[in-house]
Amino acid sequence: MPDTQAYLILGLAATFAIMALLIGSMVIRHRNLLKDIELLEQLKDENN
Amino acid sequence: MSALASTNPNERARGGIAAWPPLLRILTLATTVAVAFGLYLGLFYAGTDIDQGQVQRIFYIHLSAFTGAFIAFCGTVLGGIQYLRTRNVQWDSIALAGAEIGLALSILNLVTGMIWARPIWNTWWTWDPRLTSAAIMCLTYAAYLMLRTGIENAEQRRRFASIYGILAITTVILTLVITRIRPDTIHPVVIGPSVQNPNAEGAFEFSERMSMTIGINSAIWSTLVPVTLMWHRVRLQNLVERVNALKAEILNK
Repeated sequence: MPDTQAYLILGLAATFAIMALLIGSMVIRHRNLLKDIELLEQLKDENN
Repeated sequence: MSALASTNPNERARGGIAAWPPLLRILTLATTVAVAFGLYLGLFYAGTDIDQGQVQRIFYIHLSAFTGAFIAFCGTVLGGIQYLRTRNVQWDSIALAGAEIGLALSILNLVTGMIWARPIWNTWWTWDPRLTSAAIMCLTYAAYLMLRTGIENAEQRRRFASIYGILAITTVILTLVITRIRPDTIHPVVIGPSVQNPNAEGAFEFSERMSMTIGINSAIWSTLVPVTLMWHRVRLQNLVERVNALKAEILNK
């Protein structure tokens, strides 16, 4: 049986990295949007 | 549709897990547990392939990621058709979520395929018909996301994206069927009856445990994973729409 374990580990690492990038980017965008909403609502209240 | 929308100000202010609808919380937990279980089956339950060694286990993620991408891209088609029929913005959000999640899962499919190919085909990449069509599919959906940002008029953008998203599914179908219509591919046909290509390299015999592992992983990645991720992405898009509405409101004063 060939020793291909290193490639399995690389594949698992790539899987975790891609999923972490996707979920992480969504979390960061979510946080930034909440900040934007807070700021825009403040601006809206000041304008009223 | 209303379950996807989050316009409650308290919910927006909190923003964390506590703000998620109860069904989404359950779904997220179920997805995390199910993916971990599928991974456990792939790593410890399914036997080791005698010809390929441990790297064959990547296949459980590789195929499952594609099934997930396929479902997400079907979401883009459904969202596109429904948006064109109803002009409801929520359908456009679903279409966008499908494209983004589908693209991420397609990239995962491509990358795990490349890592598997290195020891089995002795190369990271070859311009095989299946690999080429999969790369075209990824680029088509990457272009969808980029082109969306290039159109300023919201209504025009949504209409264009709907039509593009519906047409783009042809690249997914092509990727699915290409191993059955092109005799020069070296990519193995694993699922379903087919006249196996004599050039295929890296095909393997399924044991009962392997079949079960593939079935369970594919079921998890084609249902729970895309649905949960798309739901989160739709909620994110709701916030984008809210920001745009607030900006318009302030500028118009």
